[in-house]
Amino acid sequence: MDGAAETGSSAKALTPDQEARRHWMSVLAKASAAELENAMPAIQGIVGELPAYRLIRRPEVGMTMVRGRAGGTGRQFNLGEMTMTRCALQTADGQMGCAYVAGRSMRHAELAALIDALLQEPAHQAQLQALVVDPLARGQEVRRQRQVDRSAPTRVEFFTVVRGEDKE
Amino acid sequence: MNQHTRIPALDLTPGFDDPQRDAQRVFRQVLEAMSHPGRIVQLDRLPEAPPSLSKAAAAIALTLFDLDTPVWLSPELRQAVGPYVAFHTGAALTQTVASAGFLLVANGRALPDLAEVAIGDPEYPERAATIIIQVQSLQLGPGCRLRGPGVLGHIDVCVEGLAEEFWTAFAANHRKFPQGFDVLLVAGEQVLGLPRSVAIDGKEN
Repeated sequence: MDGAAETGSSAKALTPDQEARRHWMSVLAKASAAELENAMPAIQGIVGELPAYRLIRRPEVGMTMVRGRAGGTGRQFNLGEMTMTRCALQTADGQMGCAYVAGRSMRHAELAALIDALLQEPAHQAQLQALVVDPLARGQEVRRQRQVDRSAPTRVEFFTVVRGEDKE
Repeated sequence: MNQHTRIPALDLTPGFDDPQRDAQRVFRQVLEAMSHPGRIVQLDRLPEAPPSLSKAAAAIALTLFDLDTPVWLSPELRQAVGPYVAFHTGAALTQTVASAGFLLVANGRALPDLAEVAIGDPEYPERAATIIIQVQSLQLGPGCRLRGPGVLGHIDVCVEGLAEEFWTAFAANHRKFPQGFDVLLVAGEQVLGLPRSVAIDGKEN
């Protein structure tokens, strides 16, 4: 595809811009629809009136296969399918926003795509990043840490004690 | 618009309003066109079309193309329509006529070499390609006489904006039956199916 060749995404390394976008897309996808909805007034405070946009791909619900590796190192296997919703839109300023979010919330996908488009506007990027994306990311980190702390005490290690019988 | 420089945005045309239902409906209509050669089928629930593509051609592309169908676009379409097809359908774009499952031709007067188009093999005739050709107009009336399955007796169609050599190539294609490519002629919002089973019975002008 032309786009892929242009942005050089065929190579493994991402440019800093792509890295930044990947980060905020991930944060927006992991936020809840309500969190994004609540962030809209703050966003409007930064960008002024929200730009008009048209949906290139209406929010649509589909399935994606989640893959895993046992212990993070084993062979790749299919863990199972999960529901996800995706959306693509273009603002009147010409920015394309995309979102892939878990679950079936079309509103979540649309808002995430819109915020993605707004974040690509260099004039607002730093402010949106600091006042919208970073707080969401911090909240997600706190929740993740809480989850880790709760599950860590239940961790079980399996290992085999060598008894020396195999030695001659 | 603001002033700072940025990478020119990729202008993508939206796809179907309701992807599942609209595609099913268009599929049904294309099936009707294919099973009744010579019947000019009016498509409805059409999407907005990207520049240089008719609405019918855009609808058929969105309906039929998918991840498993390599698509060949005529050169004038590659820039305008390539990203559109790739984005909405996920189809791989190919530069070689022979490897394409679908060919989309912008102008019926500038056809690719039809001898190169995949016609399937004797064991798997379904591996043949389908060519979607944009023409100026489709009408019933004196022009070309079609016979074959799906046609009661014969039917005359008048196609404007299609190179003369198409009909000789298509007649040769028909003689390879059950191998051979299939054709969809599109104009505006209409489509006419020419499966390989159709015999061209006299070309009068």
